Amino acid sequence: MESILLGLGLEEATAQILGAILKALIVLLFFVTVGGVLTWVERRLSGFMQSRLGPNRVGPQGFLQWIADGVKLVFKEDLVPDGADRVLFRLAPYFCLIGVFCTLVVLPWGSGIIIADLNVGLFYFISITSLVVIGVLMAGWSSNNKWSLLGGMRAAAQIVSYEIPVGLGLLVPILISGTLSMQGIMASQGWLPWDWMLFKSPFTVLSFFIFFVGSLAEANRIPFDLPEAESELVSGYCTEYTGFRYAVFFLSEWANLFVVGALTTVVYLGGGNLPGMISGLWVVSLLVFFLKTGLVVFLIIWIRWTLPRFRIDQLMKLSWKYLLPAAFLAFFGQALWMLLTWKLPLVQLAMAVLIFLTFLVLLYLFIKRVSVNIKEQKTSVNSPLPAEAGK
Amino acid sequence: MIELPLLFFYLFTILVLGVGLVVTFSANLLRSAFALFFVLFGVAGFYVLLGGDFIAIVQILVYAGGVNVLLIFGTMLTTDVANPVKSNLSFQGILTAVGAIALFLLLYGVIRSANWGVITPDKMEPTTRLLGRMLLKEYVLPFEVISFLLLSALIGALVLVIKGDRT
Repeated sequence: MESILLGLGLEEATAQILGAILKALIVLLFFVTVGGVLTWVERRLSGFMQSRLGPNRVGPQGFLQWIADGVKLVFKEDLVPDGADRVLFRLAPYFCLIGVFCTLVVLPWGSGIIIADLNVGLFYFISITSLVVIGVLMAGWSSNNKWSLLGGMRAAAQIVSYEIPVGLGLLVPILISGTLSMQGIMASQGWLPWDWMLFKSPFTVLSFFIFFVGSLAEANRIPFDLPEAESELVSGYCTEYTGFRYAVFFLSEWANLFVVGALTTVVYLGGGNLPGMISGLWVVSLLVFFLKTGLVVFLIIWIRWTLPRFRIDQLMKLSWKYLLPAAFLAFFGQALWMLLTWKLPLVQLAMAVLIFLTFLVLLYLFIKRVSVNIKEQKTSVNSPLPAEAGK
Repeated sequence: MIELPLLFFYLFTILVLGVGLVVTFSANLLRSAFALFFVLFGVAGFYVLLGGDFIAIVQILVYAGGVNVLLIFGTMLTTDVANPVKSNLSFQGILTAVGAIALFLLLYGVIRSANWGVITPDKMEPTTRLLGRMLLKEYVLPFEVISFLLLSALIGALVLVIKGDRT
């Protein structure tokens, strides 16, 4: 990008600044689009899972619903509640937005496609989410509303405590790839499933589990959506927000969904790696990346509409008493495993293939069981009730 | 022709000093706590300019994301924190001033007398590998001693907050 601007006859410093701004704009456009589209995807999927329709009026299959929602929210009145801390109240949504937005900088979209391949990419990824914590706390406190305050406190406590298992869980992939750079982590895996980080050893499976659960908690998704628990706290820290600021909160939440999916893909599922002969095709690499990310996002949405919500003490217990020791176990186990099989790459490969096959068998059993369940259902999904059908 | 690092250095300096003044003089304790976040973030910016990539991220993770959040938490749980008359009382003004000036002089002396190894921008390279090697080879004893100290502080804090029967 800078080279194009330099070619236009600009000074180097100006070109660098302009290039950075242009890149940021492109990413911002992507961010808004992906956040918006994901709200529609989530609503349609949840409708499907609960035997109802979901938004289907605006555009084909209701696809343009998110634009309609966005326009509606932008034109709504921007209220600041009486007695709120006006400055902090206005500032808070942008912290959440920036916290999620900045993570996109180090995401490798495919091999070689990255905005900034920081040497400490993964570490940056974990640390920049602290902006979200600050934003949530700010929103909760400045709203001058007890539900907001409780929601904000819960969110901050949750994110801070789950950051630790997530960080420790991510140590396992770092140990294997020997780098903190996102491109490096992606490059240390291959395109075959048993070259993926997830299947490399039993401990990477454990670390994946810890990371995934922790990420759900950091993204405030069910079963960890206590900060916004609708039946308890109205809508948590965004209770008092209206119009554009509310839209900003929502956007960053759904974009975060994508970010979690993308990070999982890059670190554990091989990212956009391609087989050697077609490794130059960046479009295919991008497609592979988006396909995998889509699958992970679908999994997260699926979990949300399947599981009930945790209680706050259960949530804290899970993080500190189970996930944290498990993360230590995964780290030490992986270190030992690497020492033992340092000169035996065949054993490593055999283990990876074995774990992958086990995963396939489990997947097969799961699909079989689910299909039996669906067949034996008295009332089939998405069909009229028996009484109506008889008329 | 502007030099970008210099420009960013001035930007971060203005940010840190300006917001630092807000932290010090704001009547509302909670606003001070939130403003402190910007100061810590700006300091991370200095580290980036100095080529310390790892240390900059640690600064954000530990100070901005950990210490500051805990600070805000503590402030929020204080009763009537938004009321400056009740929450923002200054005690022992003279003693505090003496302490602050002494600390400043000490830091100034150390900074003036220290021998700063300066690297040129073209020699900047990733620091993670080097840091890891230093911590686990040459400085492994200090590293372990500090870890032990932190661990005992952690356990000590836990013992202090245990309620009820300590049998």
